[in-house]
Amino acid sequence: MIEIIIERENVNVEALDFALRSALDTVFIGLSTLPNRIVLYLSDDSTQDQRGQARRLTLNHDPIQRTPEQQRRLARRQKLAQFREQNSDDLNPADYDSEQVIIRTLAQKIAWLEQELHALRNQ
Amino acid sequence: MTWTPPKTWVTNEPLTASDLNTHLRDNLLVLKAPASDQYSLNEGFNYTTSSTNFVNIDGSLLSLPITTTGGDVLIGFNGTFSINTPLVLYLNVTVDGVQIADNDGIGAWTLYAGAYFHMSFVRLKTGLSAGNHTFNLQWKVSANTATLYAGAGTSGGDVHPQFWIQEV
Repeated sequence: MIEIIIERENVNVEALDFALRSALDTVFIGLSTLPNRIVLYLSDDSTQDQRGQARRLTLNHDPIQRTPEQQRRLARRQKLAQFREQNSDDLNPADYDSEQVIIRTLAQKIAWLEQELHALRNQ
Repeated sequence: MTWTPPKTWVTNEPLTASDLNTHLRDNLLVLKAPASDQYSLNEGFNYTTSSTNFVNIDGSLLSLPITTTGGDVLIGFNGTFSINTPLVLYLNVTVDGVQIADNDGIGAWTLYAGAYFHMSFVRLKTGLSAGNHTFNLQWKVSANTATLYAGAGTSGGDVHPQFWIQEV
């Protein structure tokens, strides 16, 4: 296994790992971050060009750029925060008293589950 | 101070100061303070890895040298980890550059996002010759990225892992 040590800080580890895997495929084994430096791990059969490419990608890495997975997680968090704000009031089963029995039963179940979620989130 | 195999006295053999010092005093001192080393992390950073092969977590701070007298060595670690995307985390130890457990190492822990995971192990390394030996803590992941908290002041995760070895 080849280790390439590069001095730099402020790394988006997931994004850099994603970029290196996309560029180098199985030749890239992974990376570690230590104080003030990054260690890249490449397989023994990596070429000089691939090692140079790994070094360039790391030096040019922009930690602000997110991976698709990071964007998805961020979008999910934002959506959750938005829904929590929009639904800050507890469901009141009495609001459904004029509905059919099956709807009233569902409303009661949802109200119960809502309270269970509050308890799980220590609210 | 080194261990000396205790001598066997025979009938009417005089007790000399030299023998008593070597075989009783010095050996008791060795037993009282066996070879050991440890490092407790309290750094200004946390460690991360995405390596799918075992690599040193920190080849300097978590590299422990000791001089043994030929006994077994007890190895211990405890630390707190987290991840963003589910993965399996593996830990291993090398002695003089050789992994003490093949394949996926000493242990595997499945981690999920949004939580801290405390991991620990104790392992007995047998068959070591007397002399200088260096122990390194290693890790790898099945995919994605893992973080080991190292006392960097992370809110809610300002914890201090410890890696230790002791001859027994």
